[in-house]
Amino acid sequence: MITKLDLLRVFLRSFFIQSLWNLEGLQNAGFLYTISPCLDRLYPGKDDRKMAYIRHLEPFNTHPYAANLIIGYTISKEEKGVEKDMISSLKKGMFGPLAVMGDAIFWAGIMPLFAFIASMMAIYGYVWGGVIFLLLYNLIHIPTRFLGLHLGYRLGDNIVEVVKRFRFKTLSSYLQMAQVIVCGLALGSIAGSEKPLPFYPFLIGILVFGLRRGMRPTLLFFIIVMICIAVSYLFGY
Amino acid sequence: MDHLGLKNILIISLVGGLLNLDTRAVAQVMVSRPIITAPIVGFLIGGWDGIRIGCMIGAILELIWINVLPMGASIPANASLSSTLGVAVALLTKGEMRILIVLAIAISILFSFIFTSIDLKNREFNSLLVRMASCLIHKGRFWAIDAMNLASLLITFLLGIISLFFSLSVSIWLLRGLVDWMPSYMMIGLSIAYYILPILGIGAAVNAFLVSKRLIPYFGVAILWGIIFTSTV
Repeated sequence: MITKLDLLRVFLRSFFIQSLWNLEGLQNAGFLYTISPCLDRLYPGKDDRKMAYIRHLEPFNTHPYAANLIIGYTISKEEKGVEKDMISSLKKGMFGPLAVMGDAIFWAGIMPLFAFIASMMAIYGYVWGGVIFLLLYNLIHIPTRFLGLHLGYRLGDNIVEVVKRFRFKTLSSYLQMAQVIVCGLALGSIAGSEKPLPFYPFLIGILVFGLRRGMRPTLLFFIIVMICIAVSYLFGY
Repeated sequence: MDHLGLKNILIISLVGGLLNLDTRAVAQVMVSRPIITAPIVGFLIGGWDGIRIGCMIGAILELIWINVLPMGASIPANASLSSTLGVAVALLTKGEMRILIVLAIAISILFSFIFTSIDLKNREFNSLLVRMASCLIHKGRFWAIDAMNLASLLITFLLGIISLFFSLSVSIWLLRGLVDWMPSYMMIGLSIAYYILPILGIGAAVNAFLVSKRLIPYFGVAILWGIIFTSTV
């Protein structure tokens, strides 16, 4: 009943899942917006459709890329005519864990890693760092959304098993390792190269110490600027 | 684009507002991150020279805000509009580039608070729109969800444009005044600060990445490797 075109429309709409983000239902309206082509297909009758729409306006929040998995799964369940309360509890059961996974892999993993590398390249004048960042990042992002939708739709109940068995903690810790390694390399190469100032590591030590004490980097920026101005004043410029 | 006219500020606000949509409303392809937005705006204003300055400002802002992302239900600081503002302000003011970059970053950070509270207002608007949609759907008007979604996009876009327009006007005026008045010790001080910025950025990144003691060995080895590799090559 659900056609490939319906799923394509859902896939395209899924990019807007956070447009109507609100404090009460979070991604609820976005979820409805994304899934509505399929609801229209499955419930041609006005009353059924109204119930379906209202049903899917319940609070929903997960990682935007991972949401497609739940959306595909919901579509397959709606198509099979599963009990409505069941669909609701399946959604609720899945969005928490997927949010944690998505946050750990994307927001705290891949994104900062690639962004750091692109930033280092930019600082050293390699202007195309940003382009590479966008390309590589979205080569992971877009297929995640696409596969999420189709796997969620086709795999049915197996999806819960797959999600449970997905070793995201291992992936997450590899990403963290990659992050600190890249950071270390950057620090090391600054300390070892251009200006062999011995006070660079000292400076970094002070910085990390300040940051560890809970100081925000933005505040630290202003403190450093103030110190520089003060030092230059004291030296009588 | 070196002449400061209404038309140019409008164009910058439009592009900045468009890029800002990517933070939450559309797709999240990361085109709204400072490291991407700043060079784009830099290119728009200053061509190939503008890109290089955009890269520097974008890189530092990206590093300072490297862990500012929408985790769960939190509302992160708006890095996109802030970086657009910073680059525009640096490129539309005449002066020594290093000083302007430091000042631009300062302005970005200061105005980020305003942009974030506008984000909050935006989400409140969304609550209203969703309530309206729910009401209409109860009456059987199913087009409401599409309409409200479009309305929300337009509102986010417009809020971005308006806030950029005003921030740009105010901060360019402020910055020009500041650069004229600035005593020489301040100029020297800011030039020194410019060289410390990459270190601050890496420090912020280290703080965000080093989340457990387990990672310290990898970090340490990588630093040593970096030092050895660059001092012998």
